[in-house]
Amino acid sequence: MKLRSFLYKLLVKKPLGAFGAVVVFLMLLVALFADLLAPFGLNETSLLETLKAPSAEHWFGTDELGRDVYSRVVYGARVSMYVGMATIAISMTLAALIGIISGYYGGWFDLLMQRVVDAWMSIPGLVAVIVIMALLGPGMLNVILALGLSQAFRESRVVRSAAIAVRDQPFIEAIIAAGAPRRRVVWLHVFPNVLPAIIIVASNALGFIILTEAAVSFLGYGIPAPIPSWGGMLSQSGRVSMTNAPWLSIFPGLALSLAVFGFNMLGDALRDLLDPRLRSD
Amino acid sequence: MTRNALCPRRRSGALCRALSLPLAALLIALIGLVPAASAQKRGGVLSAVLREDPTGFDLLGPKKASWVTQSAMSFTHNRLFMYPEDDRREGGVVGDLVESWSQPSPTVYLLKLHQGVRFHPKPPVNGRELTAEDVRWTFERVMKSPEARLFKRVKNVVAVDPYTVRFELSAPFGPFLPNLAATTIVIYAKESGKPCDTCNGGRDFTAVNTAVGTGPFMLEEYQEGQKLVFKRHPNYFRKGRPYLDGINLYIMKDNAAQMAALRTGKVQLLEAWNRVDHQMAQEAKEFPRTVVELFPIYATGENIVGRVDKKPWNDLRVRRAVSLAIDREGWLKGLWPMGGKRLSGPIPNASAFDIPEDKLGDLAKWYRYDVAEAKRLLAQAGYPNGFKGKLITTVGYGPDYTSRTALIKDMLGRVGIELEIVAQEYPQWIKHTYAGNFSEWSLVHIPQWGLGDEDEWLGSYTPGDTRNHTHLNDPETTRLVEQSRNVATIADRTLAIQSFQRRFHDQMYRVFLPFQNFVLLRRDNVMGFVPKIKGYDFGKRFETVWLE
Amino acid sequence: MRTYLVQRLLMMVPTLFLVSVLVFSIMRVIPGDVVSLMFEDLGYADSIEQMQAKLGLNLPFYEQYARWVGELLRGNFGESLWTQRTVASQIAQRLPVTLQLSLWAIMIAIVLGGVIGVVAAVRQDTATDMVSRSGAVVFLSMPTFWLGTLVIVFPSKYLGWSPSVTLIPFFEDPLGNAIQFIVPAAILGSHLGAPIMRMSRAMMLEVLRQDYIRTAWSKGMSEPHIIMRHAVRNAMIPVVTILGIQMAQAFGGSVIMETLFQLPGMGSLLIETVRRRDFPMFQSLVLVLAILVMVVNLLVDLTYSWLDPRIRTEAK
Repeated sequence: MKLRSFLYKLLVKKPLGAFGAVVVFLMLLVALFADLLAPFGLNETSLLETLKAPSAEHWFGTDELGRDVYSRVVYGARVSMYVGMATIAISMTLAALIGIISGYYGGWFDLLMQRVVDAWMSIPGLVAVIVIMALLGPGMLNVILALGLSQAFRESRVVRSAAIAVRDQPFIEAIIAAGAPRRRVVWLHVFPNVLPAIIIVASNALGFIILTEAAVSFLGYGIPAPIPSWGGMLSQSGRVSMTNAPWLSIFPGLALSLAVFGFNMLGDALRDLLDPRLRSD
Repeated sequence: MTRNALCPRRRSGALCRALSLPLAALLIALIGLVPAASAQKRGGVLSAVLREDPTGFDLLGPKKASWVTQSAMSFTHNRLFMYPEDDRREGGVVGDLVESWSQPSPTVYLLKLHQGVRFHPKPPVNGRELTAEDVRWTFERVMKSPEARLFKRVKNVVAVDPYTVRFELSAPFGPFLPNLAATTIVIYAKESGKPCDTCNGGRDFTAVNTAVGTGPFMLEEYQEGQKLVFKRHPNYFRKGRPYLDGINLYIMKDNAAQMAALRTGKVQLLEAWNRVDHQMAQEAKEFPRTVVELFPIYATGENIVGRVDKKPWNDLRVRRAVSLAIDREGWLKGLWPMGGKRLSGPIPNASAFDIPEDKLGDLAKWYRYDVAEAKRLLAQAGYPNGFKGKLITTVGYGPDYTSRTALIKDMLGRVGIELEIVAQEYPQWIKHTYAGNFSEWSLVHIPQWGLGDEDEWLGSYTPGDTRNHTHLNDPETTRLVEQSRNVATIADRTLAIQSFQRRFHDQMYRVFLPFQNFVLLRRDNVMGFVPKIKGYDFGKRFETVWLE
Repeated sequence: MRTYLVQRLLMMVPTLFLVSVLVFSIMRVIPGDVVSLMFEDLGYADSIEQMQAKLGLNLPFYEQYARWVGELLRGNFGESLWTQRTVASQIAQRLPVTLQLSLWAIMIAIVLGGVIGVVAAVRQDTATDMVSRSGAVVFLSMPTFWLGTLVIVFPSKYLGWSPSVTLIPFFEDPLGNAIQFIVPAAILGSHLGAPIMRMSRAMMLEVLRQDYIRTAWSKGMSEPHIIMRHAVRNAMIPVVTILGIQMAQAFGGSVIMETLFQLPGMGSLLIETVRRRDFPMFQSLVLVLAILVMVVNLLVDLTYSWLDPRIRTEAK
């Protein structure tokens, strides 16, 4: 499928997906250019200006330390995108590795690996993340590792079934029969065919990761202060001051929900467009 | 040196006990139009909140008892002494189970117990009378528990007769009686514990049903994560008390849930230990029939420490520079709309021994906000461009706490001290940082402390003490602390503690931060609650509470 | 069918073993052990060693593990290091709460996700599809703790209502109990419903393209008849497969709902045990939850193979 026709289809047949794509694109831009977009430093406290309502100077108001909420939400985009992307990178690499080896080669490795995956998946996700956080200690990098690890096994299942489907295709059998080395086949033929599945899973998982980070924050194991994460802002001062300083929760909340919404819609559209079984033509 | 203490107030005890109730009744009979608030009413059940579950019900087990367990046990048990309602004026302790006491020699104390003090009418104790033997047995356990730290000079405890206990000390010890008032030192009935060979004193008091004491309330039911249900103790030795029929203490961790419950009247009282902050108090002002009260608390504020044996905290000029970098006025105004103290340390502001900031004289100059002077001191100390380091904190005390860590970082950044925040999880914090294990170039954000007697605060500046985070081993400071222990009179103790404080403010081993006023939120029909906190005496303060 | 069942049960053994090793080892690697936590800031060195010996923490790792499993097999789940309550009694008390919350949530998720998924598929790429899907995703996009806080804070302000501060037992007040559970369950369910919606939509789309549906259309059958009788039935079978995963998710999500809504379930206890480093309690709780998830998965697979005869024959 050519890129242009793909974009055309996304825009015409999947306006929601296109909207999601735009949101994701904007979030990435904000994350990249946070330094230019934020009028104040992200940790610049001002004790004379604590808990001020939105104004011309502070568009989203100020928080309990007098920090500019707009600047923090903007930097929060960078934190969330960074955490999301890094987590995806870790979990997808692991998932692809486990999934393709397991699915393509099968055999005892598959049997064993699937039991490990079973074991992992039988521990409720949030509990697993919190235990890993307790193990590693608080910190942004550790949040990424914990989320990435807990996601990897789950996602490896999808990759595995995609790999199995590819393995059974006649053209792969033909290539192997022609004497191509197996490792080559995996890299040149199986992996590219599994890629759409990986992209779909990744896009949907990003939203889930942002939400999970927020949930973990609420339980006190998230990205520690003063790093501005949306989840952290929401679950801390945002929750405490929900009625007397609603701007502390409305703006980070909107940003977070918008990002999750965007990733989900984009993921759904990609699924419709990329999954061969669902291609309507 | 005999004092009478029938009644906790500063009135003649016997008179007080004999007259207070009839007198009150008479007054009301005489003046029919007196507002109802002046008479205590019997009956009713109060709902309040406890933030966490008690961790078992033994204050003298192998582990140090948590503050929640102390709070819970203060409902069901009595101590020998308790803290008076106004510590500033009394400067000492008043009797709880002790009716009167004497000190025949500097190392011997004779304590006379109240007669007719009965345990709760529950098996296996079945409401029998408390005697000196119970006190002796409890102290057998105390001396083998972590709380023995408070009684290092106690040599012998003897039950002279059913109502007299004799304590023999190896040397005079000023804080002896105040330490008997510590909220961990409650008197147990031996038979209520579960027999256990390996346990302290051969009895195990971890289980709920062992919480049978002489206190104003009986623990009827405990559901983990849900509630503690207390019923009035019908045979309580202070006749007529408590006024309430019972108390439901709901265990609620979440502030939003606590506030919603207060707003809708499902709970009637929320106090500071539930992490009620000033923002919540502002919000509560618009709740129906809700009263917001401020009160001083018997605690020291948060502070910044480093290791005095390591860089950069070993240099007095650095410590003073850190103090000068703190904008205490701005801190108070910005963070705490309901006010607070610029400084609370090294002992609590509410302590009778405390020298307030305006009486510190020349030493007060280290508590002003002066960025230029701070930079000058840093330069003198060899850090003309400031220095880089870590600022260790924990996520264990909630988001407000780490938010203040961010504020410290920002303020110190303005004088050139660039710190990177390291937030540790609570268990890790306790095991390493809080135990004093942190490296050079690290500063630590230490929480507020609500301890018992002043001596516990002073002790934290002596080598070997577990709260000596700074690794301080200063002969002069140690000498001053020892001196405060060896005195016989309160006047001498005051002098000794105050010279310790001057030494502290001069040397600045910890940089104390501003401290907020504590907040009590209650429904307007909850009367008689004295929101004064020394130790974790939550239950005792409900003894005098009634509902309108 | 019987061989399939035996096969599945046999496969649970290594999984169970792995879970137990995982759970057992993780608590021992976590920094900040329970012994020092119990003494908080007081370091009584000799007591700490005694304490460790008492807890068996001084033994080699495999011996500790063997002891634990041995006790488990004898039905002894251990007791809390803090409160000395037996794990079994805790589970007996708390599991029903978590199960009730999770089942409510799953039910809400199935209804919500199923209906929206089917409607969205039937009206693929129309306004109905987009509105219903984006509506569902809007709910999904808000963190559960945030929705929960809204439900706690605003009704208390404007309606004078706040959730019950303690658990209302079902047998004492079934209606009160239902009201207490329905709010957190709905929040949890709105999150669990999204994957169900996606899956049922996808499956519906696939089924709608099948020959027998086309045949039904050409025979002139009415739309409701075709959708309900033929399409939905077949589309929903694969949806069953993700219920196992959703159950695990529900157990995880209940951690937050239990904390917010004062429900004394397994989730809030689990968090507490991690915080307090209460090994015996933690290991057994997670193990029980894991077994539960495995059993649900087994039931799901059995249901699936019973619904879909193809699996049965494949799995000989």
